[in-house]
Amino acid sequence: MRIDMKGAVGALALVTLAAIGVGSASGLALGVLAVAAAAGARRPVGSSGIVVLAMSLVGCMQTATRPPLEHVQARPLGLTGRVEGEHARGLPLSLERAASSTTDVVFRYDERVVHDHSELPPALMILLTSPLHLLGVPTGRDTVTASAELTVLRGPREIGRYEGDATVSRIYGLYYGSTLRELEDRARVEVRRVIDEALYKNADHLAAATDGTQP
Amino acid sequence: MRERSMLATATLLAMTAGIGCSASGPAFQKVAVPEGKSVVYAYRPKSIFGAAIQPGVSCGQPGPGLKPGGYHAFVLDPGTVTCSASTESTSEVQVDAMPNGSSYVREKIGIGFFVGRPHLEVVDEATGEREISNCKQQ
Repeated sequence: MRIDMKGAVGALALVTLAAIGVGSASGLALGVLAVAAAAGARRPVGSSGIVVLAMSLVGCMQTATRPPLEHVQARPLGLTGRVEGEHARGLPLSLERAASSTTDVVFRYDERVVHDHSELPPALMILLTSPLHLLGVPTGRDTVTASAELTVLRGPREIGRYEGDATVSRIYGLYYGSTLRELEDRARVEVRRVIDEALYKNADHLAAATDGTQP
Repeated sequence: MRERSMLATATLLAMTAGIGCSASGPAFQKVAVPEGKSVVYAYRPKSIFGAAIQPGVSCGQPGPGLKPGGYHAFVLDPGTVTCSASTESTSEVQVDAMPNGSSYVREKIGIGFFVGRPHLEVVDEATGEREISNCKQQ
C-alpha cells in the first residue's frame, strides 16, 4: 500500500491545530510526533527535547522568593486592640494575642492574595514539549503573592503602620500540583510572619504611644 | 498543489475557529455596584490555545462558559467567595469580595492530558481593569 506522505502530513497538521484548540497534550504530542515522523525526522524529540527537559526542570524548581524568616515567638505586645477588617481566614499571631474589645486602640488589618499562573510559551509547547509533558515534565508554575497592611490607631491618631508581602511558588504538571489552596495558605502564613516580625520589633514604640493608659 | 490547498484549508479552519470562539457581546462596562454588594468580574484573555473549549465559571452562583476575550460580572454579597471552573481538572480560588468593591478573576486555559485545563487567578485591581477592558460581555 502506498502512503501519500504529503497528505498525511497535512492531515496530521490539522489534528495538531485541533489539539491546540482544545489544549490537549496527548493530541499535540500525537500530532507533533506524527508530523515529525512523516517528515522524515528520526528522532523528533532528541537533543532539543533533552535541552527543553533540562530547562523545564531547572526553571521550575519550587522556590519562595522571600528569604526564610526567623521563627517568630509569640509574646505579649504590651498593648491590646480591637481588630477591624475581614479576618475570617486568620490573623498574625501577635494580633490574635492582642485582640480585645475593651480598648481604644484599633488594629486595622487587610490581607490580599493574588495569583499568577505561567506556562511555557505555547509555540515551544506545541513544537517541542507536549510529548514530554505526558511523561511528567512540568507544564508551568503557580505563584501566589500575599500582601498585608496593618494600621494601628488610637482614636483618630495613627501610631503605627506596617506592610509586607510574601511570594511562594510551585511547579505543576499534568499529574501533580492542581490546587492553589495549599500555596495560598503558605503565602498567608508567610505574610503574617512578616507583620508579626515588624510589630514585635516596634512594640516598645507602640507601648510608649499608648502611654500605658490603656483600659 | 495539494499541499497548498491543505495549508489553505488549515489556515481557514484556524481563522474560523478563532473568530467563532471569541466572545461577541457588548464591550466591557463597569457594573454599578448596588449598595452593600460586591462585584466579582471573571474574564478570559484572548488566546488561540484552548479556544475551542469554554469551561463554565461559577463564583458563588453559576456563570457562563467564558469564550476567549469574554467576561461575566457576578453581583454578590460581600465575604469569601469561591470561584471555580472545570474540565478534566478543577481550578478553584477564593476571593475576598469587599462591600461596594470589585474583584477580578482571570481564567487561562493551560495544557491538559485530553483537554485543556482551566486556571483561575485572583489578580489585582489594576491588572484586572486593564485586561478586562479588551473583553466582551457574555
